[in-house]
Amino acid sequence: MRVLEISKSAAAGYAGCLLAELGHQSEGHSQSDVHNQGGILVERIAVAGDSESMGGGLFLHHRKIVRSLTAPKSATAAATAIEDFDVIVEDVGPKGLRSLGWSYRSLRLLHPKLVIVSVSPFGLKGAYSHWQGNDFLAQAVGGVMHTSGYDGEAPMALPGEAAYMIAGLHAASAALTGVFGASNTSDQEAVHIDISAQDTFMQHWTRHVAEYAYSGVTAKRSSRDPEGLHYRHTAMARDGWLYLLALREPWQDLAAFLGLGEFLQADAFSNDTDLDDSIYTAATATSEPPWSAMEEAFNTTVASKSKYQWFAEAAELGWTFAPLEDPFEIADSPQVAARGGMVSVSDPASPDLQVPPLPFRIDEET
Amino acid sequence: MKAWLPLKGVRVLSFELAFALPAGTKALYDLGAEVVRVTPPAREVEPYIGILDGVFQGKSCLSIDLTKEQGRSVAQALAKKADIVCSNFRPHVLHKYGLGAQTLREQHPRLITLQLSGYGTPGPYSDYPAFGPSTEAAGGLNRLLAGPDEIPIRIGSAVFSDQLAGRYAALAIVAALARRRQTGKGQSIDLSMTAGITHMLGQPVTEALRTGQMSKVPANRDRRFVPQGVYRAATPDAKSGLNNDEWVAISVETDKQWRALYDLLADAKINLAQIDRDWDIDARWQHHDQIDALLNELGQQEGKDNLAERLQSVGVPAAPVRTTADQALDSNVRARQMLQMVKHRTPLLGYVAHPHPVLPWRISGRTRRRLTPNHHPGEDNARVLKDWLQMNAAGIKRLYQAGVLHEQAEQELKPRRRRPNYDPEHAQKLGLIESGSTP
Repeated sequence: MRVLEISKSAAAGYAGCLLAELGHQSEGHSQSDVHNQGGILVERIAVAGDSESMGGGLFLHHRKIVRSLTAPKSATAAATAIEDFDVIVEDVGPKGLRSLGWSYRSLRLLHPKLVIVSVSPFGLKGAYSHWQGNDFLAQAVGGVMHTSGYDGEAPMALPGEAAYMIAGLHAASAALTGVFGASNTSDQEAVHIDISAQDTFMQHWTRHVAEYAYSGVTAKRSSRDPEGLHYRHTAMARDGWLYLLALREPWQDLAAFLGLGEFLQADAFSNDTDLDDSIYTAATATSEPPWSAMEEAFNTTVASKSKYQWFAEAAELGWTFAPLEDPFEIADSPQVAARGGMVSVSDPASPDLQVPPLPFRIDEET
Repeated sequence: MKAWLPLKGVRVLSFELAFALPAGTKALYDLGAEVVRVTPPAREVEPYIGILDGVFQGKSCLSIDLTKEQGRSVAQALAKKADIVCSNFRPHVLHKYGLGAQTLREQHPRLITLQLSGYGTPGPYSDYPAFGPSTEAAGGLNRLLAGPDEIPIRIGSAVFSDQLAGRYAALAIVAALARRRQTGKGQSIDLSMTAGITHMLGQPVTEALRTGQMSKVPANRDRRFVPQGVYRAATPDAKSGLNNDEWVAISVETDKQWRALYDLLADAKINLAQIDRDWDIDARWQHHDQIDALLNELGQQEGKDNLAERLQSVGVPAAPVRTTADQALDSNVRARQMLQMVKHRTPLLGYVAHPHPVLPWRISGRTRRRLTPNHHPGEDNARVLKDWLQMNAAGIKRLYQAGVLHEQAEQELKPRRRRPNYDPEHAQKLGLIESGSTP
């Protein structure tokens, strides 16, 4: 499968990244070999844009063949330029395509079986299709942002161009599905798939959107003030941050586990009477005595052990604590290492640079 | 116009619970696959969350007791008829029941298997339990979301990592189907939710590893887009329950956009003595706080939707920040028909239908698969065993009598809150149809 990525942002860039990684993983060959092995080959035309920032660009584009393409001088040249490709994944829109001498219509006339996947902030058609946008604005209209951050302060965008990355993930799926579908069914008509980062990002909080429609319950941003909470979800263990999630566990069990015996009295804490089944019951429950009475003891006990020790001991009880990791801890994680480790990227400016591997491991052997 | 069903004829047998894998197999269902989910009998299910999530919609449902020898035999026979067998039970569970990837693929080399778990296998954390929020913490999201000197915080969706993992699962499965068409061989796929979070964060993770330090850029700011931020907007509707929490997002990339924003601020009679129309991006970055103060002042003049429209009309990129209350009412979501009213078999919480998201891709000249309600556990026992295994009625009856097959009637949905907080105005705007009984 041959993919032409025409990109100016992380949206199509990430789609191409995933497809190139899949081609690499399924074939087990280096980039230059993939071309001849029938795997997924991604060639990229970069249109001036915002996806070239150092780490971002190295992550997004490390397995691709970069092409330079000027506007073809004739219809024959235009057809020749795309005849070997099965898919075009683009985020440059109609205007960007025009700069290369193409339009969606002309591409389909030149290559009737071509699958075209277009990614944009708000979609090619719709109420905002004429708006200027980017990842940040797609996050704003796509939700999640409003309930992220601190209560009473401005909502917070997710890091890493999350809306564009998720749109790119959808675009990679759409590219593969479009090509597979043409051979799986008798449906030989090529398709043009229009993906909006707003739509794909919105899927990531649909539980909360549906919940509001069903019952008027709305989620809130985190409070900086832990008063009224049983405990902070996040605390500093001996060697770093620990995330303490014990779904629906009674406070008494959690307090006993943490060694907070002095706060064990059954009548000292009462479960929230408002939420019947919140997955954060413990965190949203009212408490007597208040957090201030036990904050010091809580912090001391969490700090007494490694976060990995807490993680393992909680897992024994079936609880879902987690070590809260930064990029350096992730790169050194024994779990990441056991699954094949980080991926080395050959870049002259950063000879030892590593990037995260695909989240799935593939084995063809039985 | 006909529906786009590229995975028509593909059979998926899914041992699934909660949200992550169900979201992935729901994506396959939306693309035309036949998805049969297998649920253990007498499992305590949470109907409220299951219905809200919508990730079981349309899928057939079997309820099989895998602790019984006959139950395992039925599951193994079904696996031989499937193209894909997947699970998000903890990794050891299917193996214990003789349904592990290696066992199944030795009998059926074309089979594609997928195991989804919090941390993936192999590895020291392989069998540790996880929920989506734990994997967000372990995958780097909480640390990267908070500022360098802040206590890490989690994002505002309980199902973010689950939905993401589901999408990676769907990608891996479609890639395996395409690969199988070339090679004739199936694949075993092992997916880690935590690794999914880290891969989505590939850009900032790589940048931190390249520079040896975490970014010190404050939340919402970006050196490529200046100014960029979220600014408090005026309240358009005093009746709204969220009337003090309305925001508009603005993100300026070019000098031309900056000058347009400057002119709009001038028209709005905002004192511009502290800023300059001719500032380049570096100058704007240095004065970001001052610009932000003026944009907060602008926000107070108008509701977020009108203000975003006004900014866009003069060439300034802007958008309203959607809330859980107004997301479903967003004009673009409506224009793109992203939500479909799913009609319940019996009214839920007083209404006959509620909105749920369809496949979030628009396909030229095609429609998307219509959503249909959840199937209750065991509802499709007889039909699937007949269709997939050609089992007759007597054989199916014997499995019921032996306690191998179960069926659990549809459960009544109770309000999540003891003191419900329904918003009838929202329901009216959405066009929800009352069943006649007010909640």
